[in-house]
Amino acid sequence: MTYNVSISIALAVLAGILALLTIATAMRRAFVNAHDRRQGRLEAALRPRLLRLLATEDPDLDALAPQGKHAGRVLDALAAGLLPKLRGSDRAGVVELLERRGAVDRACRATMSRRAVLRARAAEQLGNIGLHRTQPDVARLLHDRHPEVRAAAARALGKQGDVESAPSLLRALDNGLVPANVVSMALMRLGDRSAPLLEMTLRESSVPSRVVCCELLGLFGAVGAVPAIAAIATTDPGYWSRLAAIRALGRIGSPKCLAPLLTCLHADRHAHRAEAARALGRLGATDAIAELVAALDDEHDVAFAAAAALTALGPEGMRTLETIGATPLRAGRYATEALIVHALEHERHAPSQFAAA
Amino acid sequence: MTRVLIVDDDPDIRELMEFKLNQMGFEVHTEGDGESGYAAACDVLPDVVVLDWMMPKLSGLEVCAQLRATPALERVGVILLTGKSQEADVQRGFAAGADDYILKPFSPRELVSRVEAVLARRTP
Repeated sequence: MTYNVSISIALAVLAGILALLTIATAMRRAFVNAHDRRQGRLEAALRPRLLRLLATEDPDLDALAPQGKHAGRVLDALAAGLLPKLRGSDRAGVVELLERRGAVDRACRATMSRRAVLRARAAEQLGNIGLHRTQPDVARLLHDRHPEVRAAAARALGKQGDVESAPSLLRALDNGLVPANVVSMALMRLGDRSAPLLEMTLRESSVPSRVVCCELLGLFGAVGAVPAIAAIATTDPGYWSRLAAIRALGRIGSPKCLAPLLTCLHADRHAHRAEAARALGRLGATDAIAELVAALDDEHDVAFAAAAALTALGPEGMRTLETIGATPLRAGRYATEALIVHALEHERHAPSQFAAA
Repeated sequence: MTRVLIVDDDPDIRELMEFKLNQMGFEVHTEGDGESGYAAACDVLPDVVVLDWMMPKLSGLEVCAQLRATPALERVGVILLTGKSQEADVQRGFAAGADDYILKPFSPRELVSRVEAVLARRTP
C-alpha cells in the first residue's frame, strides 16, 4: 500500500513538472513570436522612412525620431545593416544618423559588456561604421579573453581602414592572439599605406608575422621593401618566411628582385628553389633563362616549376623549351610537358570564353 | 517618362534605388530575381536596366545576354551592379553586353549619374 502511494505521488510530481515545462515552453514560444511580430511591424514601418530619407538630397536626419526605446533600436539595426551596402555621401549620412542617435557611443560602451557576443557584435558594428575615434575601443578587444571576440575586433579594424591599427594587429599576430589569415585580411583592407610599417616589422617579429608581412608587401607591390624582403628570402632561418619572401619578390616584379631570386634558385630546400623558379617566371626575367634551364635537371618540383617559368618568358623562353624538348634528356620531358600545358592553358583562356559566358 | 528596371535580390538596395530614381523623375520598376527581371523587361520595355550579377534563378550576366538577344530590347541600356571586382569579371560583364559596371558597395547618387550617362549615350 505504502509503495503504491509513493509511486502515485512520484508520478503526480513528474506529471506536474512536465506540465510546468510544457507551459513554460509554450509561453516562451508565444513571447518570442510576439516579439518577432512586433519587430517585423516596426521594421516594416521604419524601413521605407529610413530609405526615403536617405534618398533625399540634404536629408533632415532629426526628422526620423521613432517613439520608444525598442523602435529606436530597430532603426539603429536597420541603419547599421545598410552600411556595408553603401559608400560615398549616402554612407556618410547613415553614419551621421547613427552618431546623432547615440548608437556609436552605445556600441563603444558595449565593447566592455560582460557578454562576449555583445562585445563581438559591438566590434563588428564599429568596424562597419568606420569612425576613427572608435579605433582604440576596437583595438582593446584584440586582447579579449574570447578568441571569437579578438577575431571580430581584427576584422573590424580592417574594415575601419585606419592605418594606425596596423601595429596592434601585428602585435596580436606575434602574440598568437588572432589567426594569421584574419590579420592578413585586416591588413590587406588597410591597403598599401601600411607598407612602411610592414617593412619595419620584417626585422623584428616572429615567423608568422614575417610571413604575413612578406605576403602583403608582395601583394602591394612594395618596391621600396625589396632589400628587406630579399634579406628574408636568402638568409631567414624560417622555412615559411623564406617561401613567402621569395613569392613576394616575384609579385613585386622589380628588376632589383632578379639577383636575390637567382640566389634562391640555389637554396638548400627544394621548395624554395621551386618557388624561386616560379617567381622568376612571374618576373619575366629573360636574363634568368640559363639558370632556369639548369634547374630542369633539379628535383621534380623544381624542374616542373622551371619549365613552367620558361613558358612565361615569351618567345625566347618558348624557343629554349622547344630546343630542349627535342632532346631525349630528362629535362626535355619537362620542356615538352610545359609546352603542352601552356598550349592547353592558352586554348582555355582564348577570348571565345567571354562570348560563351 | 524614362523607364528604369531594377533587378536585385537585396530589398534594401532595390528600394533605395527606387526612391532615388523616382525622386529624379524616372518611372521605376523593380524585380527580385533574374527570371522575373527578364520577364518584366519584356513587359515594360525599359530604357535602362540596372542588374545585380549574383541573383537567384538567372544571373545578371545571363539576363544581360538574353536582353541583347531579344530584338525589342537589344538597344536597352544595361548597368551591372555587383561586388565582383576582378578584372576578368569586368571583362565578362562588358563582353555580355553591359554598358556600364558599378561596384558594390555603391553610391546611389553615382548610380543616378551613370543611368543618366547611359541614357545620354543611347539617345541619337
